[in-house]
Amino acid sequence: MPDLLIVGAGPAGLSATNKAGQLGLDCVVVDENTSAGGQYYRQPPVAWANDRPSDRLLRGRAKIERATAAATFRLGCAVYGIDAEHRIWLDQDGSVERVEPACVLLATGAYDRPVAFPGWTLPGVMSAGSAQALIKSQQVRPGARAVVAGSGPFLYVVALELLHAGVHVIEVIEAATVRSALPFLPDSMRYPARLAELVGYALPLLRAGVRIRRGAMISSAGGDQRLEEVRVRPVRSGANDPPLERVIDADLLCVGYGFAASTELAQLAGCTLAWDRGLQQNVPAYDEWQATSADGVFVAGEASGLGGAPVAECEGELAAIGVARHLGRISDAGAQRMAEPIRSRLRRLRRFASLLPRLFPAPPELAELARPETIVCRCQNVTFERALEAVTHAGATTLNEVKTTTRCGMGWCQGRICGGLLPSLLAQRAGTGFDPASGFTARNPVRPVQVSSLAAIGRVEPSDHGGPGPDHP
Amino acid sequence: MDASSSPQLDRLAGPRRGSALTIDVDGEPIPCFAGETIAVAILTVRSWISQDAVRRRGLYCGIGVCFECVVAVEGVPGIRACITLVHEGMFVQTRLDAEIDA
Repeated sequence: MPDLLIVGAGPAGLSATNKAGQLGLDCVVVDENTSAGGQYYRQPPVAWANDRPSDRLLRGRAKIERATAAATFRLGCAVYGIDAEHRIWLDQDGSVERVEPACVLLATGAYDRPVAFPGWTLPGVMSAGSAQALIKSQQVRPGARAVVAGSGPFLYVVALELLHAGVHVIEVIEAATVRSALPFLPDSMRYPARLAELVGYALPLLRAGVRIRRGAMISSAGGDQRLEEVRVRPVRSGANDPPLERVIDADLLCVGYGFAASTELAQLAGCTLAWDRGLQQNVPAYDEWQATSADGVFVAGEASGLGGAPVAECEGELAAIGVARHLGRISDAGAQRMAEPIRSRLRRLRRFASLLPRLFPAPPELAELARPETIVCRCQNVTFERALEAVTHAGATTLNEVKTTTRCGMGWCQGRICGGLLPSLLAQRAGTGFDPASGFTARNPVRPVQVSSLAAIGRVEPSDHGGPGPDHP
Repeated sequence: MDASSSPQLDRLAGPRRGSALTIDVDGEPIPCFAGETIAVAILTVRSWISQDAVRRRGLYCGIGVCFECVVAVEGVPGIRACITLVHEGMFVQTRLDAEIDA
């Protein structure tokens, strides 16, 4: 069995792999994507010729090649279970196995924070990360006329990629304003290179005639079975006036109001969680070696808090050093020596990263958007009205209680989407009583797996809906 | 073809793709290329991936988290079209109501 099993082949997982290789650890990397790289270094299929690869794509490719030489890669392979002894269950194309690595690194990353607004389930409305993946990996144009809405630098990155892919980007709808960012500008000025990077994204957009609206947000999306128009409103409006809306014709709406960390494996491994202010959710707590409270379980990258790829890479390296130290392959003094330069770089990177959610907060006004008929659980098509009634009529105060009366969180995604949006939505709209920090309890299997596979493995407790998914028992 | 069904995606002209192949989506042949995902293959011919009793579904997270795009492949449900690659002759079912269980 391997010294280290790394879940996730993004920036954190790849950096950890390369460092683990240098330290002589026997390492297996698992990722459910068919290519390594994660979201940041997302690669087109290897066999596809590309005449003009970007710098990032080339850096990613080099990093992946090094890592591939240093470890066993299992791509297209899902981790569908983990237990408190960090035994791990893998599913590769329906064939399952159990692995008992000495240590586990959870580098499971993050995804765009879901926001429920009228029309958000229409085809053509997608996360900003989705549009980016379509362009970078699949080399397609995700739509003809696009609106990009959300908050933060990622919006401009995606808008620029859309522009380069030949999409008519009509507007970027940014919730933050210069005024809302003012209190943090002095701190931001200490990072001129990073600020220049942000401006570097915005300038080509402006030159191409893309309108950038600050202090605005989505109001709703509309269309007959697909996106046809986007309604936009000011974030703040007069106390008694309905906000003034504008309508934009579009067939693509990319939404990016920050990120949510993937923490279900950490929960199931028994890691202690702590509230993260930037992410507004509970994430695994970790020490100076990226070790969680669960013995032998480490965490790195966005799965344990926002930082971006450079932070994730430092954390991945630290975690690999931490694992080697934990297994007694290197001395504590040796580990400290190796870690020190990484830590000092990490401190600076984290200081900047911690500014971003303050410069570009997701506006609390997003919770005003859902209407009674708006779907909040996409898997089960549960409406906001029903989720709200679970709180106001049935007295639910936590997300698990909402689940039992509404089926929210019982679908294929196991609550990763509705679990990301309901806590703040219900806390704001239901009045007092609902716990905004509550979440769904993670359950094995965390990915759908055929009942026969579960039976073969025998040791993973089926989730409460049993087997592969709620509608296909 | 009405506006609501015109394709969501088109392929960029630049890159040379994998070999041409055909998948079967609810009995209709859809041409595509090795290395493409099921989602891309379907969305280059229409605006939605699947349909349940309530609504049409497209791509949402696009990275394997939300399961919005699940289809059945060779009769196995719960397959994420966004992260699953096509292969020649692949049989994909996109009606998420009654038919799939049959």
